[in-house]
Amino acid sequence: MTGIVFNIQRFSLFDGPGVRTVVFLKGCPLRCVWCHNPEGLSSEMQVMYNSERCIGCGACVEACEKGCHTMKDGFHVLDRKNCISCGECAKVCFSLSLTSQGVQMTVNEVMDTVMRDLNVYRDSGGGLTLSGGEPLMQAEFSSALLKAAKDAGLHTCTETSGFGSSEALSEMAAYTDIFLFDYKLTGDEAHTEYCGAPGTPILHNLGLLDSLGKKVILRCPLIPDINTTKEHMEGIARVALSHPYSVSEIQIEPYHRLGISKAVQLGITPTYEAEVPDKDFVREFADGLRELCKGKVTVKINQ
Amino acid sequence: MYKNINDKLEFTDRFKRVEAGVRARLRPRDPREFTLIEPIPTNGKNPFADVFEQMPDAPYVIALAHAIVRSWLDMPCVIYPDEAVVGITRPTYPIMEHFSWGITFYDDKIDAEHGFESEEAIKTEKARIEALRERMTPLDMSHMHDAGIALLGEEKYKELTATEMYWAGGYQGHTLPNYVTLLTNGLDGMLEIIDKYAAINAKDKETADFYEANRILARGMIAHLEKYAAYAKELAETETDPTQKRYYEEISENCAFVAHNKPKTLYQAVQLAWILSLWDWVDCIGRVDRFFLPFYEYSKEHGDVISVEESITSFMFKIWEGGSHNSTLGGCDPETGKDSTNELSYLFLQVLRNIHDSHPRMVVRITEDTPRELTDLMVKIWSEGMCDPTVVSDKTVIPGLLGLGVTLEDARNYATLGCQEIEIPGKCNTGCEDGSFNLAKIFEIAMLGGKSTVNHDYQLGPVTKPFTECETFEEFFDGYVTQLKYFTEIHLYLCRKGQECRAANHAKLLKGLFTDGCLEKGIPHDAGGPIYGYGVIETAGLAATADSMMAIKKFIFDEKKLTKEQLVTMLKANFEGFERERQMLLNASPKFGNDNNEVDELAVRILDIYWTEIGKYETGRGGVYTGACSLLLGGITYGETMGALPDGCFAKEPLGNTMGPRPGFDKNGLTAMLNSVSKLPMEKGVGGTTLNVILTTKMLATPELRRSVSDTLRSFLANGGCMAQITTANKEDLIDAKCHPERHGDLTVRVGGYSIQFVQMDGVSQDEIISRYV
Repeated sequence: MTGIVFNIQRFSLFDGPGVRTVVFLKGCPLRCVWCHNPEGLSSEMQVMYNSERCIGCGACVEACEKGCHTMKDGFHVLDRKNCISCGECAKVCFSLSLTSQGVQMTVNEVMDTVMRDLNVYRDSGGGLTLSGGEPLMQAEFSSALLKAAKDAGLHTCTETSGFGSSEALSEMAAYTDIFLFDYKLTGDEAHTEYCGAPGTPILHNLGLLDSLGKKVILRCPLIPDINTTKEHMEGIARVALSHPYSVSEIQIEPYHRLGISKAVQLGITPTYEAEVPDKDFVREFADGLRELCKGKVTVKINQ
Repeated sequence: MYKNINDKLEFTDRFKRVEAGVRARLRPRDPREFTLIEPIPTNGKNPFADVFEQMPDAPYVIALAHAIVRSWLDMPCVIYPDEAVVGITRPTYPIMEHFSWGITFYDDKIDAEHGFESEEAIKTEKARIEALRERMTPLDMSHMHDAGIALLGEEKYKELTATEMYWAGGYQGHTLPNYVTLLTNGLDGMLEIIDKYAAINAKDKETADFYEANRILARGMIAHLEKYAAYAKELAETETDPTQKRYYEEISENCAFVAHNKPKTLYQAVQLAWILSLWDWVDCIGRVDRFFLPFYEYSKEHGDVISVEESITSFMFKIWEGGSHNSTLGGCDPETGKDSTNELSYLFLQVLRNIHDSHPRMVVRITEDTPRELTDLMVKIWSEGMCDPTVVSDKTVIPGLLGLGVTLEDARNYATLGCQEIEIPGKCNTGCEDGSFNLAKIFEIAMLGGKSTVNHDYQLGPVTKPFTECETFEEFFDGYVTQLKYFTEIHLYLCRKGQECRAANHAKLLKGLFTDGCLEKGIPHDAGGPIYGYGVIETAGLAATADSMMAIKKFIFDEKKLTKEQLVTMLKANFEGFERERQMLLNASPKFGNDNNEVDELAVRILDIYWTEIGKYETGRGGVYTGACSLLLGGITYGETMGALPDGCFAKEPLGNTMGPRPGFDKNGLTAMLNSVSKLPMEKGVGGTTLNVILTTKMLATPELRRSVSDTLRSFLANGGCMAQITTANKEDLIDAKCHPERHGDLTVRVGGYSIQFVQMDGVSQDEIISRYV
């Protein structure tokens, strides 16, 4: 069995306890307008183009059968109209200006990399974190990978939007120590508007994890003009407090703009752009939330 | 005590004033990497020339000892307001200095600035020096060059040196004196020790002179302390401020006491230790948290003139201002093998933290039982933007030292010195270092089949198949090994000649008085006196060589993507017109530092061959050579001698410092880089193998993050890693990294939920990061 992976990030300190390796799986059912990992959205292989790295060698022009690449006055021009994401151009682009996003990998292949930091996991209490994209989109592969990690004695985290099949989620829950579970917006209407799907199924899945008694860290992106409201703050507190068997911590994740340039490199026009929220505002938001949670849930800021 | 990272040690008001004084005096000397400073004008005086002139018939070693003493005693005493420990460094004499190779001449520095007012005066002085030169330097470096010429012939030796493949003949000659011997015996006690061994060994004139020279030095140190005692007394008599008057009286009494007696209190111990450090060129000091411990405990129990914190602070301020290279904390007990971290280890770190400067440099030895509190405090200090302390692994170092024949007890007592080299305090002369060698230059020579890299028509090494004629990778690799062994033999022969110079010149004469073995045997420090005389060779260019080997293996021999001729043409052209091919070499071939087995194995193979080879040769001091890899600037200076290489680097690019990858070549995160480095045969490079690790202050922002970072490094040190030296980066560094990615390849930043190599990001994202950075 293989899964499509777009990145394996070693020495990751921010996605679960200790030092971790994060495996990013490609494909996401949601379309959050602020997405910071746009290369994880599509389930297909994609070509990313970073013009700053282009040396104008023209190798891609010859490699592409569809005529997507041309040279104009010594400069490379990419027209994605006929692109079938075959990745032939990336294979000849040695300057890494054109790169393939997404590789088919077996569980063993992924584990080969993951297991290289075994000593550090053991010494730091770290392990494997599955992220994406959305791991639930490749549920079978995700479960197999998590199981392999558990069999190897690793601590496991799954970072998920919560949007997906409940059966798949409970399967993954059997091999997941901590869920990093997104809670993005309060209210179905807003959720559909900004994330492309309703939030109710997500809450249903959170309820499932609560009933299973799984440890959950709620991750809440703070997006200017979209969810920086008092209502959403109350929504977060309500959701956290109503899942007492699972949620023990909330991590506020302030919006950052790093997804924008990646989207542009993928040929996607970003539909949302804003300034980074003010530090004091974020702190006040977290303080407000802390007050609402009455000390029952830890509130942290992931700056 | 002192363990809590949230409680910063506060200097007392008195020491805040001393601190302000040190900072004001240091400010004009930044950046500084100097041991010697010039606090006072020398007025054209040179005690070395004077003494040798006045003692035309004295044996060399006797005249030298007198000259060293004179160089200290001729200098006026300086006591800064509020100080407790006193004694300032000597000026650097403009014309000649007793340093690494013995007396060294600086003819070009005789000028008006140094007190020679007229052209005529300069001319007279030069003539005087010239007349004395032969007598003052029994063997100069021409001894080594002559030996090279005798061995290879003039033409070949000239060609060889033109390649800039190595440095031979010794560098600063750092060693750690035995502070314990001084502190447990006092200076009068040292005189007794000298007499005791002189009575046994001084059977010939030369040996008797050696002992007499040591007596002169010990008496000189006594006189130096007495001079300070008298001066402080004099100051006290005229001082009107009652507090300062008392300080002077305390200083006077303290100096007078330790001029002869062995110290009892910590204040006495730090004053005596400082005088040795001064006379030792403010070189490296060793395990300060161990040898001061009995005095610390005594003063805590019985009280002292100043508090224990003030004593340690006084000492630290002195080595800070003097530019001390290194001292060592933590690590195991020599007898029990158990971790011996104590209150003083924390106290030293807390004082270091408050000083918050590039000096004094400190190293923490990590054992499996190093308390969490100690590593937490250490990482906290990094998070505040400091690069100290460096960490070093007992688990890796001790077995390596045993392999060199060091006893278990001595191996457990190792400390670091110089640019993070390793030795046994008070028992070693490792040459530190005897030479350095660039493995990547050998790669270039092997490419040419043994021809010189400067003059391509000149056959410098043995004839091996040039790269263009090799049928297989192994054939080329064999040629590399042949060249490596050939030049190693020559290099180590020259290093040994350098050792002969040092021995003949009694380089760093004072070291012998405080190094076990010298007095016992009556043999000077550079002539084989110390108990351990193994030698250290610094190794440069490993990553560049392994990466270049990997690239030719892959693209030429395995995949045949390029022909040999194509590659040679590109390298000759420094890749001009071949940018696409360069990008292939750069990005499509594995690089050392990414936990890739194939290229890492090449690195292991090359280093193992080299370090095994040097281990076959003996030093002139007794003992074999061992490898080291802790060159800080060497990666840059050696890089400047290089042409373009098959790893995709242009000519003159830095080779990468220390044990790590070439700058920017590690792209798989810190753990991958650490894994690559731990595969290397550290047990054959016991001279010190440090690794530069760069972290941003943000990655160390919370206790959880700091714990993860310290766990990662402890894991590295417990699993084959030897040393790690941390650099913390701030916003200015990020801005510089954006403009000069080649200098900051290893800079890792936190982006949203994960960390990434900063230089891998596009410009827009980099700006984002910079704008968010505090």
